[in-house]
Amino acid sequence: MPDTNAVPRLAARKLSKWYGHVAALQQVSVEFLPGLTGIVGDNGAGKSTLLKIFSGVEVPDEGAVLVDGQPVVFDSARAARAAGIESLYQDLALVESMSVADNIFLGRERTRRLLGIRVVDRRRMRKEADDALKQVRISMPPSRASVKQLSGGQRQAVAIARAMHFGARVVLLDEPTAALGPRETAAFLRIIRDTADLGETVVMVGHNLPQMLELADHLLVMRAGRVVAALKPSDTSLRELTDFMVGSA
Amino acid sequence: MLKVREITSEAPAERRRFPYLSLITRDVYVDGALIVAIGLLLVVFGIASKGREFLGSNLVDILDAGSVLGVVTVGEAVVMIAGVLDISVGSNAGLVTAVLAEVMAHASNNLALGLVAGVAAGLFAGALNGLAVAYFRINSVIATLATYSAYYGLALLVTDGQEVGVPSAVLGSLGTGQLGPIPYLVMVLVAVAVIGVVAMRYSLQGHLVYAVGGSQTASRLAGIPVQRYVFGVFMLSGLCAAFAGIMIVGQTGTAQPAEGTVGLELTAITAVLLGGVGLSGGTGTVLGAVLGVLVLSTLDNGLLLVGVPSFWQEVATGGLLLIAVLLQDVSGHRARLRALRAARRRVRAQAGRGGET
Repeated sequence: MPDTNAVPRLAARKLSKWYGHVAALQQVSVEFLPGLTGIVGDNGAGKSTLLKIFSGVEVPDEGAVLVDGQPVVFDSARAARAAGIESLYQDLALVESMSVADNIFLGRERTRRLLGIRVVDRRRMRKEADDALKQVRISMPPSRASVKQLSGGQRQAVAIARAMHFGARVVLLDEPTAALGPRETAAFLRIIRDTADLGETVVMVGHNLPQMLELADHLLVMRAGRVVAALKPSDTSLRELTDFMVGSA
Repeated sequence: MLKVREITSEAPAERRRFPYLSLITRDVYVDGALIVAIGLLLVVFGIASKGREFLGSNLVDILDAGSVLGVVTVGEAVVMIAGVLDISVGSNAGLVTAVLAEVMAHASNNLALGLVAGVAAGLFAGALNGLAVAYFRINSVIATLATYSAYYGLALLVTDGQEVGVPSAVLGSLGTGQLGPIPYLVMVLVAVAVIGVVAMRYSLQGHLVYAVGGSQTASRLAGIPVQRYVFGVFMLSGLCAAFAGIMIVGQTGTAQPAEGTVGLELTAITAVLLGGVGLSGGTGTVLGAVLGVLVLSTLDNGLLLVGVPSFWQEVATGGLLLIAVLLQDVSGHRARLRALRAARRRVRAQAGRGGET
């Protein structure tokens, strides 16, 4: 069981974000514990904005992001990654024309020096990538295959393997199964569950409430830029979740 | 309620074959086809010209005639692998010749000064392209179409629209001399091509040019400095244009802002496309593009030897490009045809079972 007394790896303190006159987030304070946290809410509730701030894509107008209890400012996606926060994007963010190994190491290529020039060490990348892919138990071709040839589920597996391999401390997922078929969704959710069971902190935004109730360890409900409820899936129901989302609770 | 674990344990094992693991990758296929094409052209023209095509001196001529185009093409290939386009390279080369000639004319024929000024002009022009595309986010076709016109105009302004002679024995010897049987210009081409091929194939920077060309979004999210890379490929293209300009001055002994450089960019783009680099970026190789130059150069040379009017060369170049692009897509078409045939068989088999539901 997750140790609830520990300092959360990722937290937010009174985050606010405006787009023009529209408040996308208002004074949001949350803590993410090890295990899988599901964030649900209607469209425009601020779920994606919250994830974008954690992943360094957006900068909050007020408040702070806390990593291990320390306030941090992410000026780029790279900075968030350096702090161990990995994001899987809806559009997957893979380079289709490159190999699986190239994608796992994208932006962190293994190189060796040859006459002072940094040469890409493809053999090492392939070997490490094959090892990383073994962690995610999904049928995959060898890592030198091109991403173009993979199914949606396999692509997600590549993205997860990338996050795990580089020792991500927090994995952020924004509707990761939106583009997947039923069987791929099931396989992918299993990977997510495995990852959370290993003690990783996984944060997942999703629309499928029954799925979230089944899968998550903690649930956050957002409405109109605020977190309106933090629930245990075992203590709540579909009915209650819906009421919180539409504001009749 | 969803039962995650059970569903996945029932999922059948993936039985797809992985055809992409065959040794013949698309790049190898394209390069092989280009080498075969060059061989076929040599044989056909060799027979038609009663053997003159095969003479060693003629093979050197083919390389020599392709040297300026080849150097420009290496730069263009890198630009196109990065997923952008540089239409201004021909004008840029012309501007380099003009600046080189004018600076030398005003500095008592100081060659070093002229070369430095010429290279600086090429790099400056490349930087301007890079600035417009990478930082001001102007579409590369539009940006370099604009600078194509601007650099051409600048070259004419610098030389007052006149052809300017460049009295330099060193440049003249570079342009027309040779070491043993090999012209210096061919050596320049080989050196630029080898550096281009090796850098794009093995270096980290080359690898990341492929990443940026494959997906700017994915590259940016992975923390790759996309803008710097896009800027960089235009600088590289400017440098290649500068080399080409210097080579042209060597060949002709004059600055030629109008003749000799107009249309160079379109031929270079043709060679790059022939070589299997896609317009969308991230695919193809510099080697393919250089082989594309050799195909074009062999074709021109052969048609000339056989005595075909030079207008036909242009027609042949166009036809060749269409055929090459069709051939490069052939594997995609074949896969689709296979799938279609299989689908039809399934439908027929279903119909054969007699409408059972």
